[in-house]
Formats: sequence, C-alpha cells, structure tokens
Amino acid sequence: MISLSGYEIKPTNDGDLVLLRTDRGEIGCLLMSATGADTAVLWAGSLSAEDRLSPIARSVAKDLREDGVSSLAVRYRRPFELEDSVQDTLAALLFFRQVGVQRVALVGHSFSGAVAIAAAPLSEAVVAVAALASQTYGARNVANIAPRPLLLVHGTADQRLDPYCSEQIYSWAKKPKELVLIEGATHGLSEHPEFLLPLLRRWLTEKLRPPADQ
Amino acid sequence: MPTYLSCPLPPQQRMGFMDALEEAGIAYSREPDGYVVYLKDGQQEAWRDIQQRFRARIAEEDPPLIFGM
Repeated sequence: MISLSGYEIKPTNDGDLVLLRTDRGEIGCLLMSATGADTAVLWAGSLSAEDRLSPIARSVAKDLREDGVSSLAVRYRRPFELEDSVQDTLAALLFFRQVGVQRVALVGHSFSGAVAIAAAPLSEAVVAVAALASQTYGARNVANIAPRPLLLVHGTADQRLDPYCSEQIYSWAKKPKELVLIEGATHGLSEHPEFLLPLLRRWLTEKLRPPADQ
Repeated sequence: MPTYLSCPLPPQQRMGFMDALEEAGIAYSREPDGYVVYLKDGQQEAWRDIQQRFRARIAEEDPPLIFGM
C-alpha cells in the first residue's frame, strides 16, 4: 500500500495545486476547498497532465463547493496503469485524512470508473462511489463496495465502452446500487449536462451527508 | 434447468429488470447480446412473471455460449 510522507500546497486561480509526496513518487492534485468542509469528492484521474480539470468535475465541483463539499482532482503518475492509479487514489485518500476530511465520495470516468471501484473497498473514508461510463476491467470487485452506495452512469450511444459495461458492473454489485442510462449520450457524457450535472450534485451531497445519528 | 438469453430491454427498464431477477433469486449475467438467465427448480413461475412484466423477448433457449458464470 502506498504511503504519504508529506504534501505541498500552491494556490492558483482554479484552486490549490497539491503535490503529494509518496514512497512511489509525487502525485499532482487540484484541491477546490469549501470552507470548513469535512466531506469531499475525490475525482480520480480528472486532472490532466496540463493541470486541466475535466468538464464534468469542474462544473460539479463548483456546485459542490456551494454545498460545503470540497473536491480533489487527482492526476495519475502513470495514466492507464490500473494498479498505480488505484494507489494514487489511495494516496489522495490519505491526504484527506491528514487534512481532517472524514467522508469521501469517489468519482471516476471511463478507466477511472474502474479505479474508483477498485480503490473504494480499500479505504474506510469512502462512503459512496460514482462510476461514469466505466470500463469493466478492474471493476470485478465491485460487490465489496457495499453497503456503501454505488451510482453507475452510462450513455446509450457510447461507442468506446458499450453501456452493457455498466450493466455488467451493476449485475456484479450488491445493493445499494443505482444504474442511470442516459439516452443518446456518448462516452464523454457531455450531451445532457442539464440532466447529468444536477444528478451528480444531488447524489453526491446526499450520500456525503452524515447519518442522522452522528 | 433451462437457460435463456433474453434480449436487451429499453434502457429505462434495464435496472428494474435486473433488480427483479435478483429479488426473485434468479441468477443471471449481463452479456453483450443480452441477459443470460439461469433458472433453478421452482423459478419458472417467477421468471414467467418477470418476463411478462418487462415484455422480455427470448432470443435463445439454452444458448451454446455462456459467459461470466
């Protein structure tokens, strides 16, 4: 398991660039903090090599900030290496623990859907997982996410990863689980932002809310 | 007991269909061609109900290729 030895934070216009120092190398992240938040969304693989945030993460993170939820987008050391990317995600979860974040929702798109699914069972801080247009490779352990909730979203016009991938993951998963197929949406899920973005905002804030008895 | 390959349903019905199978204790796997449904003794009636409720069309009975089990 990866270990975190320290981190460095550099403020920018888009948020704080965070450099995680680990025993496997440095991992770049972008933190969009909500004041005093102890809940956060971890956007696995949503930060590009040029420090650009994916459009879905950018939009939803902005809304979540208004809801008092922080976001951290992770840039993998070795994109498309599943095991390394899972470890990078776990390092980001260790960072959250160091800065006092108690409850984390993991979100991943495409390859990172499987990363989020594979990483979630390895951290008690993760309270919910959303996998968007996920691949099946790496997602076989999805049943281990339960009893934490799982949201699967896929476009019916996805030609890179057929929507049956998310259905197959759904069939492997245990409840609580939810499958949303967006008619006409392709792999980028950019066709119906008026549907997807509020769905993610609502689902994530609801699942990040502490149970009533805490 | 029989195995069926059921054709994919309209997208908005797929989660409900899989939930109904799970609630009835019927084993299935989602494959590219549809849902492979594996019936055990005593599940025929529950399967018939689900099939009718979702208007699930059977593409093949006892399909030769069974994946994922």
